[in-house]
Amino acid sequence: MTTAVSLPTAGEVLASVRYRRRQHASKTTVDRLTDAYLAAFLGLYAASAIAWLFDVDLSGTSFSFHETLAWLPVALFLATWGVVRYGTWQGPVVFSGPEMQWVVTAPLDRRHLVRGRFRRALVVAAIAGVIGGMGVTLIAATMTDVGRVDVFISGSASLVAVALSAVSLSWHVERSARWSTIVNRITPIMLGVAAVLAVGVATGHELAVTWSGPWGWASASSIAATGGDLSGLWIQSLLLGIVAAVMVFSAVVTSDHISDEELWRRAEARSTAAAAMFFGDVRTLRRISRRNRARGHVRGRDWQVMRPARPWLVVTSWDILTLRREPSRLVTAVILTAGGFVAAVAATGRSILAIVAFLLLYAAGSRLVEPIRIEVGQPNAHRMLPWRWGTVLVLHCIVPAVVMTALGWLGLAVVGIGGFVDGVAFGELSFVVPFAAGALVLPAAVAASRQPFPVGTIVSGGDAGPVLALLWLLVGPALAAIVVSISFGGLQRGLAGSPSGFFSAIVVLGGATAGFAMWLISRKDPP
Amino acid sequence: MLGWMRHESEPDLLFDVMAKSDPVPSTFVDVDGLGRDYGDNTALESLDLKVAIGEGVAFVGQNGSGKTTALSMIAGRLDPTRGTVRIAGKDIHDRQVAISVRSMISFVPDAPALYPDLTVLDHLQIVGFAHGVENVDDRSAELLTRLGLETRSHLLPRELSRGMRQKTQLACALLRPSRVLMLDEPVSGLDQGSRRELFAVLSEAKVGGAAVLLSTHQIDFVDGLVDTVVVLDQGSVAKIGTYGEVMKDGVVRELGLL
Repeated sequence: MTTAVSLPTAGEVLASVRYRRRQHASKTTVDRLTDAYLAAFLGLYAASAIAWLFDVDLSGTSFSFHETLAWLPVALFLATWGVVRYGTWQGPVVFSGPEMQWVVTAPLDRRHLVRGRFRRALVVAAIAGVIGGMGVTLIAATMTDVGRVDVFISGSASLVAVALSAVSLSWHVERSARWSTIVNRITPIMLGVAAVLAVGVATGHELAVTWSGPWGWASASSIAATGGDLSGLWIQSLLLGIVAAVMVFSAVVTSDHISDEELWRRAEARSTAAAAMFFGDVRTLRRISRRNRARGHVRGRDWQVMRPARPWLVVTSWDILTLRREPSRLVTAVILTAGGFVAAVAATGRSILAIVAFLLLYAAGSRLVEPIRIEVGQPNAHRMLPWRWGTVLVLHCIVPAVVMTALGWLGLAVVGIGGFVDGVAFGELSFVVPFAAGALVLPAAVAASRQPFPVGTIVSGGDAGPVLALLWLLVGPALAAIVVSISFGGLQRGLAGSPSGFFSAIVVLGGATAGFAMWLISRKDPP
Repeated sequence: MLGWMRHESEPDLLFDVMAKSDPVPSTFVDVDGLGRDYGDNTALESLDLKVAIGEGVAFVGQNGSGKTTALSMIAGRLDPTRGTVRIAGKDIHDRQVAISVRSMISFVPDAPALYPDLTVLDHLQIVGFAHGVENVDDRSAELLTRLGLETRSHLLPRELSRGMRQKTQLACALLRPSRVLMLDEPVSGLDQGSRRELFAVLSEAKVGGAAVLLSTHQIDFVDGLVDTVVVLDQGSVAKIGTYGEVMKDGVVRELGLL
């Protein structure tokens, strides 16, 4: 005798999973409310800190909110592209490993499962758009007394529309290997487009920028609220609405156009990425996203190991080799250094930009000392070499210091050609650069030579846990900041025409570099 | 009776693909020229295989030989670069028929994929519900007893050993009404007693009307269990035949599988 089998819908199965998971939920409602309270408290704290930074920086300067908002199209363009690029390895529709194993592979309607996840992503995007849009237009209206309701609504709706479009586009990238490849390949071109938009804003062509695409249309009302041109606002809003509607519709109708392989790949990447994020392991996170963007096939040019001229150059030659095999590290360092120089040149009278310049340059040095982190991750590997642990660490600093020096000289040359420093100062600063590079790279090396980020401290450290974890993260930048700030007076005197100023800066930077190197050499072999 | 056994007399439980009027094809799993590349690397060159209901196939080989790739493509978890996989005459990678074909395959992966906040019994209940299994409670109890999990049914995955987690997955796979049971490295993490129990369960599955496909690098496990052994070496089929034929050939010893 046969028995008919009645299959549940996808929604019923998901509800059943949710119900059962709630039975074993470790967090109570009180726990969740406490978490929400803590998040709100920290958010307010962060917002007040940012406001304080702006207060400090803007007092006595000719800050214009309108000028700042003019950069909104560039920011939106980059954010949109970031969301689209996220679709190459994760995207708006991601299931967990257990969901894939037990729910997605069940005989359930795939469209229903995918649409549920996609709907959730759209809601998150809409909330982000509302918060962003309301924030920008509210501040704009407050600061400029342009309190028009239509502009306010249009500003909020525009950011919602651009967020929905970005998420929908990200879905198309997620479901198609071909689109993913295209996105990966044209990312440098898109960065070029962002640069063109930035040049347009910087040269006062903001009207043209607001007509350049959805990112510009979405910014138009906010810019208009601070005194810009309102004439084309409704056309731009209409265009944006059409684009968002088409994008969302096309995503919904293709909601079952994704292979199991893509969903499995994302589930596995999500699981590993979550673990990496929990342990603060940025390196693993980067590797996962890179591997998944390349769909499991990551293979650079097959560079061969060079035979070093001297035995002590083994570590150096290995570091050069890894830099050639993974040039993205060098590219990042170049971008960060360039950003640091731009911020430094623009920092006159703006202390916040000086801090940004320092952080960017430190980040460049930190990116280059990656071989030390690899060494720390494999502490027994150094036993193949005839040197102690501390010596190996210092040898790993040679290539980063040389690269930072070269980048520093390059940046200085550009700044000199731009006429931002005179000939004499240029010559003397070029002597300072190698020591400054050392003073940035060595503290980064000191920070990198420690064990990975102690996530357990956040929990086990009680109330002081998050503070201890933060201090752990700040050690490297703080060491570099102390040295740079001490040498800063000398540099300023040098730039004012006193050669002894440069000399004292060199002494401070060089002495600190030597001190950090000695500390690294004194490190005992890992157990 | 275990979950999959009822299909022997009730073929209409296999939904639209295996409707009552459809005869069970003699070749249930038909693999034709299946291959997969990762860029310049070939993970699997070309695999041809035909498996009937009640038959067993083992993929053996060293690490990186292509066992998991082959199994994953047959299960529809991985898209092939070339070739086709047909289950009951339907292309497993055809999106239009994917749901009905998927319902016929139970795949037990090497790495356990369990909800961290659901118990062993919860997993069985969900799988049973999602696949429309009747008398889930009775069937679950039967499976848990059979696999030695009856006293651990209320435990969460983190409270289980690796072998127990593997058994939980196996229980879920056996509960759902499938025709093809696929297991990736099912022996790893299991003690001798559990290995014997797994052997018995898989043998019963074959007799009960399921095609069993598994991958392992422990070739001795499949002796007497499978009808065909596919020896893979660096993505190529080095030898294909019965257990006896494969063992007579020197390739198994050359590859260090003994």
